[in-house]
Amino acid sequence: MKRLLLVACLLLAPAGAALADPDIGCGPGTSVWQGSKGVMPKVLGATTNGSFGFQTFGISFGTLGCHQGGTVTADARLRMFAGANLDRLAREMAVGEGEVLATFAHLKGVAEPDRPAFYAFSKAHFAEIFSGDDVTENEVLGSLDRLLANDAQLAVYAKS
Amino acid sequence: MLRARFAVLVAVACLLPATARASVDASYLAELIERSRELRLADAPQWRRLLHYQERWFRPGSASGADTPSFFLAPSGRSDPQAELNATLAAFFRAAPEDASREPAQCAFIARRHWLDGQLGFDPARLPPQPCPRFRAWYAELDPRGVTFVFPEAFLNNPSSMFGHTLLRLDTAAGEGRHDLIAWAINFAGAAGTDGGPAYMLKGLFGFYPGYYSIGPYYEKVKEYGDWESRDIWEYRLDLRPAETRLMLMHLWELQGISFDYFYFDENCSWQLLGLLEVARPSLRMTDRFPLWVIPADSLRAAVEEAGLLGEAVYRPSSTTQLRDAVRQLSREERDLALRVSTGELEPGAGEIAALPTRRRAAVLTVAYDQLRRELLAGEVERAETAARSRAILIERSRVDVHGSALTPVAVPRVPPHEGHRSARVALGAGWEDHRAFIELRARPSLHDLLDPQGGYTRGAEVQFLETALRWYPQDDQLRLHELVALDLQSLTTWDRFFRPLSWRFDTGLRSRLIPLAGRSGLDPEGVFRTHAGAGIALALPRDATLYGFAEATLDAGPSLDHDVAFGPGAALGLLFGSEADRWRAHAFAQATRFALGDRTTWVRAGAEQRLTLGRNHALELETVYERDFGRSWARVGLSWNLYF
Repeated sequence: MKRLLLVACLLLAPAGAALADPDIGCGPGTSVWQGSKGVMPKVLGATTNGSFGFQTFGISFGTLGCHQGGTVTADARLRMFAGANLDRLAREMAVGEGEVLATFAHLKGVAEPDRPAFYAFSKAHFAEIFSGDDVTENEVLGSLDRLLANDAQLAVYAKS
Repeated sequence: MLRARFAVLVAVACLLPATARASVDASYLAELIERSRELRLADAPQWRRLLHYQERWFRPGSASGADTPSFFLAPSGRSDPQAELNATLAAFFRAAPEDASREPAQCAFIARRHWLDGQLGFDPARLPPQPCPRFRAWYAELDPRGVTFVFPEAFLNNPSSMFGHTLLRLDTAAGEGRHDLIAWAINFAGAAGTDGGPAYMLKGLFGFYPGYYSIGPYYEKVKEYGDWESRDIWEYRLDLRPAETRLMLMHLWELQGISFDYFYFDENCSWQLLGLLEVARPSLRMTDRFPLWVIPADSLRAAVEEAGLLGEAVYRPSSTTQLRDAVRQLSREERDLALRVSTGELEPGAGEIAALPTRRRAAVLTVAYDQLRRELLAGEVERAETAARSRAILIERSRVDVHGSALTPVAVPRVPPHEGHRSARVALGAGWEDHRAFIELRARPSLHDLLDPQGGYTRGAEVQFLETALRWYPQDDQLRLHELVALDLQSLTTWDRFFRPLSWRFDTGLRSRLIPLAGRSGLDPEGVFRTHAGAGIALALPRDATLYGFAEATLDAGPSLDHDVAFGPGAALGLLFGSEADRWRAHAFAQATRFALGDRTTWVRAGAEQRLTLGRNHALELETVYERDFGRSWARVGLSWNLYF
């Protein structure tokens, strides 16, 4: 029944109309380098095709209550994406390139001409953006915004 | 005629709830129902698709595959297309449903409305269209600019994924600047709860699970398949027009929370997605191609051939594929360093790392990080002990002045999955075994064995279902069911210093075994039910050859065996190789089993089998095997011609 509701919720509120409150994000946040806790067993796994990824995603929907209306804010979407892909985001920021990083920049609203500068910036400040090994996406985004605010070219992208 | 019209009116009156009757234009409803009868709309392919009607197997008539009662507006709607059509038209006249949490029927069944309107031309004055704000908001949120058919390749370690999987992605933009990760994915899956393994397969086979559609972000699917299951993903952008995409989503909107009978081989994800595409473009006839079973690779071929493609298939290698490819590009010393950094034996900032040329340093550090991440995802290491190291490696990498990867990206496989060999196979052959000639007819509905051309299939993965062989021995004029192997699986994943995967195989089914019978001098082929399983390791050799070793166990059961049963441990060694152009593949093997319980004997066999591909769907196979069992030995030679279709 729970799964049924969840599926219905996902269908009804695809983007997280649920996420109307930007500060909720993914609840308390996802730690980086979280690993595979609860990932299906490698041999003879128990899940069917597909329900798995959406289920994890849906847990956030469940706690947020998908009945709420409203449109999803860009910030909630950014937070959700960063939270779900934090370890790949870290890698790509350190390397200065990648699909997750490009999508992140897009969601952050970084204009196309500023992208190379943004990638160079996040690479140069990697250690400060990922300021500890327990950081969550909310902390990563907070650090990034603080650092961006002091940059001449990229300050416009800092969330006040 | 008048009488017929009166009958329709009476029927209409019954369809309408008492409260609504006054406000409804009953004569217009009667008119619509009559026209729909004249046009035979209830029999139209699109109505059948929208309601998921199929011909019944054992009785005349049709029934819908949808299980949820709220999907039908008529009490008999599940098996009566005309009654459902009448009730749908009647419901369209009700602006507000009795249950306020539900939508008006015009909105809840918006694809039905769209189609019926197109066929009957609703008069907006007599049947006012509902605005459907919830559907509009949902559609605006999805905002599809294209549809991509996504095929994560086979994953043998999960029975639900052995044949691959298919899903759809709604693309965010048409051209450049599109961000696939945040696109929406449409997935159909059986809800198996906590069942796994054999229980899943059996229940799935016979339709015990409900299947549902769901929508979620594509990046979750990329993580699930590409990171956790190490499956390469292929993305095929379909040539659908915007109006077709919209129609498909209208129908998907109707399916929210609706459950379907889920059958592992037939009414599965692939069959459902083909059905969705047929709703989008009613001229398509894809599900008709698959009356008995449909597997993801075949549905992919159907979608590509019939719906058409925009551009090339896009290859998204799994994180394991990427890491393996990166490791190949490192020297022996660099691999050493990367491993030592990933295990923490060497600091990422150590002198040996700093001494590397800039680009090599970048490569070694990213490989070290990727290896650590892979181990973490596989559950081989704990987060607590690796998080600090992960961060330290990336900090060091961020200080190396190389923007982007220092290595060559993974090459796209030469043969995409839709161009691989067809998955059903028949073979006609002749041979000679233990001084007896035979003619053999062999058939396999799906999917791939290790001697089939590799292109388009998962490397090292064998999945065969219901392989059946009939043999005729002319000498005795005897026709025998030689084999009926229900399931045959093999997963060879090569082992090296970075990856330590387990290779394994499993098969179960009816086999023929040469057994000495009382009162007969030689050995006679007798049926046994055999289950055989093995686990071991595989090594990659130069020129793409694979060497494997397995520890195994075999259980035979059959009335011709002493005590009706034989069980024992065994060992196997084999070498697989193929020509560069993938035209010729060969397998040399040796296998010994000590049946220690039941009918005791030592069974040994060794030999070689090879297959030469002649054109895309033909192959010639030669098998030469020596066997020894029950203290006697014999040889088998067989030559067969294989057709993939």
